[in-house]
Amino acid sequence: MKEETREYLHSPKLYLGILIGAAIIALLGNAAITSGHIASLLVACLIGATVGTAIANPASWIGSIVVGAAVVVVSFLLSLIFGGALSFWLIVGLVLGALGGVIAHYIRTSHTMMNVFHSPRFVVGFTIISIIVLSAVFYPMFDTRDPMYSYGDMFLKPGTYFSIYDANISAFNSTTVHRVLKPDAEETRHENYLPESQLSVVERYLARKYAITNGYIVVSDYEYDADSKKYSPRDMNNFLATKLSAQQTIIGDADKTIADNQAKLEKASERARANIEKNIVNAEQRKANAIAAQAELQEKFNNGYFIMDSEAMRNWEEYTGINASNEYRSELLVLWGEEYDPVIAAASVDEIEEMLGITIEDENIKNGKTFFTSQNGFNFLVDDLKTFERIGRALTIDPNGKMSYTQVNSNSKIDPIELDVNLTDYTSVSEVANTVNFPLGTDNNGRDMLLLLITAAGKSLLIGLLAGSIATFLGLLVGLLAGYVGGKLDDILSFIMNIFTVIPGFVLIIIIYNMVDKSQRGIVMCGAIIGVTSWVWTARSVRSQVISLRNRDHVNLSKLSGHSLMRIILTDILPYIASYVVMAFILQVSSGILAEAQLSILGLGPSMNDGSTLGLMMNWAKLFGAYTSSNAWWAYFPVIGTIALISFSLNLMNTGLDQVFNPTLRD
Amino acid sequence: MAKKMLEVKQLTTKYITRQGEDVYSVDHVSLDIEEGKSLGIAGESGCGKSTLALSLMGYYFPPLHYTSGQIIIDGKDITGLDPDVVRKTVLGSEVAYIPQAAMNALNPTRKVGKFIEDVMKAHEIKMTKKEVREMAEQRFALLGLPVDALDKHSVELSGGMRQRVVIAVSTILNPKVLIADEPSSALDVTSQKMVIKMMKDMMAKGLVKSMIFITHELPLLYNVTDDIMVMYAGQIVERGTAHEMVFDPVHPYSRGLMRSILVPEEGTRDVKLTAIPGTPPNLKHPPQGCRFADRCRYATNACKFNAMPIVDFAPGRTYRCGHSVDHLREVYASEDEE
Amino acid sequence: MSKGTRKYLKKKILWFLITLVAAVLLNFFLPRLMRGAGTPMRFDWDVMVATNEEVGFDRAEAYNPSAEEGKKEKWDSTYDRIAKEMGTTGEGENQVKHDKVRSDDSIINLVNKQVSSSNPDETYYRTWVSTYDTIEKELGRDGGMLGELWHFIEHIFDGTFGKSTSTNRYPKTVSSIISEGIVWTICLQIPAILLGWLLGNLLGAVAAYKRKVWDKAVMPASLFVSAIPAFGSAVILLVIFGINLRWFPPNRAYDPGLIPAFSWKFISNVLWHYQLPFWSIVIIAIGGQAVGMRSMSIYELNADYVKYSRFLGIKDGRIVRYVFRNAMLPQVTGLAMSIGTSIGGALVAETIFSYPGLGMKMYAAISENDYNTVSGIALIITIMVLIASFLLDFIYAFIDPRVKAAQFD
Repeated sequence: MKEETREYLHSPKLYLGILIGAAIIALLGNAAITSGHIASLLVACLIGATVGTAIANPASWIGSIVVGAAVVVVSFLLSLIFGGALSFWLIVGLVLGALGGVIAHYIRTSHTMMNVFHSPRFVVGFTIISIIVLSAVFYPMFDTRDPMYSYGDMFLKPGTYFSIYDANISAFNSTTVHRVLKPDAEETRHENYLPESQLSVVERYLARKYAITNGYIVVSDYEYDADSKKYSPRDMNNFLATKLSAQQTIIGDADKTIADNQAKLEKASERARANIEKNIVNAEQRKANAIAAQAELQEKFNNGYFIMDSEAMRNWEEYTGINASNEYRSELLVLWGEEYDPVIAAASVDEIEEMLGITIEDENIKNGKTFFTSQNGFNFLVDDLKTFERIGRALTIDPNGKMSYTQVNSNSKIDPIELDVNLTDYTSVSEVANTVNFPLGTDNNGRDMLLLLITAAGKSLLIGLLAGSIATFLGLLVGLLAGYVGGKLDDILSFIMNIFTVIPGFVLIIIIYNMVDKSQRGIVMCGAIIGVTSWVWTARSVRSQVISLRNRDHVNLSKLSGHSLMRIILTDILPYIASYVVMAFILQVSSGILAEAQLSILGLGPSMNDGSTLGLMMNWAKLFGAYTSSNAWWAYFPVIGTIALISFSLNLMNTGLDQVFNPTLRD
Repeated sequence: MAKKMLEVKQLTTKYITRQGEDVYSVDHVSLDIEEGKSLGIAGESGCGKSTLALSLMGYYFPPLHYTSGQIIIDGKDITGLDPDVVRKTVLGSEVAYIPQAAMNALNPTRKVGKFIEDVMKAHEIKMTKKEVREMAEQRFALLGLPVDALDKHSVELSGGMRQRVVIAVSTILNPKVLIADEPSSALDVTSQKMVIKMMKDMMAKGLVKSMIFITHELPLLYNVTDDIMVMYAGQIVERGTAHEMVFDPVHPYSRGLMRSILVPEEGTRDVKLTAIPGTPPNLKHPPQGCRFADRCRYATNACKFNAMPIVDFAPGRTYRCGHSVDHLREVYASEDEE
Repeated sequence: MSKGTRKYLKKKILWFLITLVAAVLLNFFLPRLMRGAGTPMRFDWDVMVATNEEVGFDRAEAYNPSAEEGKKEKWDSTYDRIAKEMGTTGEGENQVKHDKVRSDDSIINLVNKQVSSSNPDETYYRTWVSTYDTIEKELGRDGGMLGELWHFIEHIFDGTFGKSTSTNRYPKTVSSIISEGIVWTICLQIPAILLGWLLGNLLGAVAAYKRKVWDKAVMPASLFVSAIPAFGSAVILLVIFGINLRWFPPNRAYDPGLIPAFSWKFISNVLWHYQLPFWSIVIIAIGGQAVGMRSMSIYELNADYVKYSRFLGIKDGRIVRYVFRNAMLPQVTGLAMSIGTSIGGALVAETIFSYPGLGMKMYAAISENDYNTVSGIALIITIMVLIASFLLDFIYAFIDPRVKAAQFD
């Protein structure tokens, strides 16, 4: 055996490399096998062999192949020892191991590669994107749950969720109950209730609803004229007349309908008769309602009760199902005004007097304010109330008007259990029977965000890869042809390229994508369309490089030697533009991922059949109000961060490569 | 004796590399030039000629640092002056520099006339735009340049024209010393001739008082400059008049240089062309003795260990070598007979 | 204007016209190519039709197809129109049968559909056909592909861009939809993109000049910021400033109660709403520009004329001005080229803010399968980008003398 080989066999880095490589394969490969992702096992073999051989750094190609294969063999042995079942794939693994060795050796010996891997920007970018890619590939194998499985509720906060029932059960078990003296337990006890501002609002509302029996009705005698932008006194009689006549119209219509239908009744067939009769009955009902409404209006008017601008109020009632009767409508308006309508809230009686240029004499108005409602103000009130109801706290009001809350478990089918529980009784989360851990919470449909994020990142990367490959390939092809062949072909291709540069690619994608049938919009189609619309940039870059290359001496030499076009392109031109092509590819992948995200947000993304993508997750967050109404930062912030990180790391890699290939840009 | 325009005494400047090492590119150089004379500096790439030029201007910019020595221009000592003072009073007005490949020396987006205005302003010369323009036109006419070049951008002029414009602009403040760094290397032969003619013209008209002409093209120096100086590895190795240097080089290096040119005259066929083998030493760690020693045919052991100072051996002639002048001339003569 | 500049301009104008025509044609043909691949243009009109004339129910009511189950939101203008088109009148409320009219349903299918239903007397295929015909006519498809092209061009020239084919907006013309949104979009995006460009250039220039700390810290930071997608910055700003801090309103262009007018009250309200969308676009634009400008500046700072100017005693400050002017000029072309991509991102940002510009209109049109509107907005955006980049190239010709010279190469 040669002297150097013998020496090498004694070097520690050889064994270190083999061990590390084998560990990688064993770790990842095992998970792959258990979850059935054979492709991932092969990827793991390749990665492990490459890393191991890179560390071991044998001096020759043969050595690298041997070391690479050795890594694989050792990993298989390791897994056998620990009970794994990798042995079946040994042959394939060996081939991949050899391949990994070759790749590692190439990286180690190629001057360019060493420069590349010494560029700090490249290394950082490469590390980040590798972590993301490897997570996307391998994490699902450790966590084999279905990412689209819905855990039920919307937007659960990140944390560990445990079944309250089971926690209560644990309280009965002496081994799971422990005495813990937490220093500030009392102070933090009431944190989880409704926020203070909301509580007081609801309290006042409900106090008024239940506790106050009487009040005066506020009448707004002023109407707003949009053209002159003024408030002017309303003619109350006229107002009544309008309201009455509106009802009258309904009555008139109903009468007509009745008459028409009665006429038809004679000619109708058996079957149709029932329908017509129903029509008549409905119309009569409408008529009766209208007559009753008229009466009510008249009575209200007579009693001085009128609610002006009450259409919004009415809508609100309908919407919430809360039936506010006349007595406390004023209180509601007060409440409404104070809390939810900034226009009203600002206006004190004095301000209104000034606004209208009048002096308010009426005591009622003076005490109760005049309201000019705004359509949307009440939405906030409604939302707050609904929250309150959803949480399910029941109010009790004692005769003194004091409020207290008791918890009602409205969703549970199990009655609350009577427990003799001490304030110092704690149980560990791991001792509770049913727990679910959501490190990043859940999204709008109750899906585990972390798992979803990782798998979606994988899908987005796939789209990016597909789009990037297509775009780079097309760009390379067109650029080569246009640049090298030149002449008329170049003119035509340049013309096309220039057009596509100016027409925003985004717009193109939208037009094309919009036409594709919804059922066809899968991941592959998405990637393909993005790729097909973004090749131009690469093509231009390649073309300019090729043009500057084609007059170089070595190309001329080949031409004179009679080499074929293909051969010249492959051996004389491609190697020189390889660096640009690699950089262009990285850029295309990055922009492909971004394009997919933008498309999905607009609702044009790939359909859900193939699983979620990063853009789709953003879309859901938007549609379901993750940031507007729910403040569920976990549903969109990590997604944005992941997209940005992917983009950033790819761009960083590119900058690093740029510095390697373009020394003038170095620091 | 005519006034000395430039006196340099033991000037030493160094580069500080990224790793913090010192490279003494100009090592104890002394020279002087009289009014109305021109000096040519010859030497191979990396011998320090360009660095010397920069140093002479008092223009130190990292990584170039001044170490020691004196520079006196027309009686004014500019050593150690504040950079801002240097900028205002020396650069361009006392010493002017014409860079290599001056084609790109002008800002492509600024008209020549405007650029001249900027130069005036930078030197705090109070002239109205009209006065500047008139002066520029006069100067251009004087030097045989078309006046409308003032309204053009540099991209609109041809290469040769650009070079001449650069020279004209450089000397617009009538500097005492004009340093031309390879002014004609990047030009075709016709343009070369025009440039040289222009420079000689300027000297003749007194627009510049003295000139330093740096080049690696020796034939040029013979026709252009009064004196020639040869530099090697940061040091001057020989100096003399142009005629003396070309026909009677004393230092082995100078001789080697001269013998590697073709002089188109009788007897050329019989002259053996020699090249000087080897490469200059690394100035990070300059050799202890003579720097030319390991390339020199006549080197002895003593040469490798003893550094030689530069000595005068005739009026206006200096050289730096361990061997005596006579010995060297003998050896050369015997070689020529072979 | 010198000859070189004139030549450059002539070339650019010719170029602009050709691209314009090409853009229009592309806008027309591309989607139809997809259609030829087997997926027809689709839109859904939910039409309820009368069953039997005898019953007296002879009115077609169109309902919003995207309304929730059980909630009937009638769109009166639409139904009026359809009723008129169908030649039916009168009142009635018995909706006995309804189905979705799909434009890709062939007439045979329609006929088959109700022939197979339980009531063979039902004769409403007639009204269905007329709806279908209306839609077909609206899109000009009655003349085949050429007919469509003619229809398309005709509608461009008569300024309407055709009519919206969504049920809630038909027969509103696409051009009126566009005109509602275009002012908001232009007022938002153009200043934002320009400001981002300027600030980004400034940042890149400073980083190139000062190097050291600026370069090491600022460059990676701006690289990261430029990696955040436009909607990302929009959401982040929205959440932090709009919802949590409540400094600015999180949506819309002005408060709902206000009426557009030239009063200070209205304009200040608009400006207040304007902040978040504006800055989210600016931030993104800065990042991308800074990196490019830095490289360009480094390149220029190493140029020969910098050294030469120094040799002539010109102050550093003035030299820096030279350098940045020279580095900035190609950035103008860069701006022209990147306007296309910026617009895409900015449009998405608009949707995040429910800002009533073209972005929202596009979004709404897409979700309603309103093909005409999508196509119209796409065309308008293309034209805007085209005009913008042409203007920039035009301006560039006047400010960079290197252009003149290049024409003689």
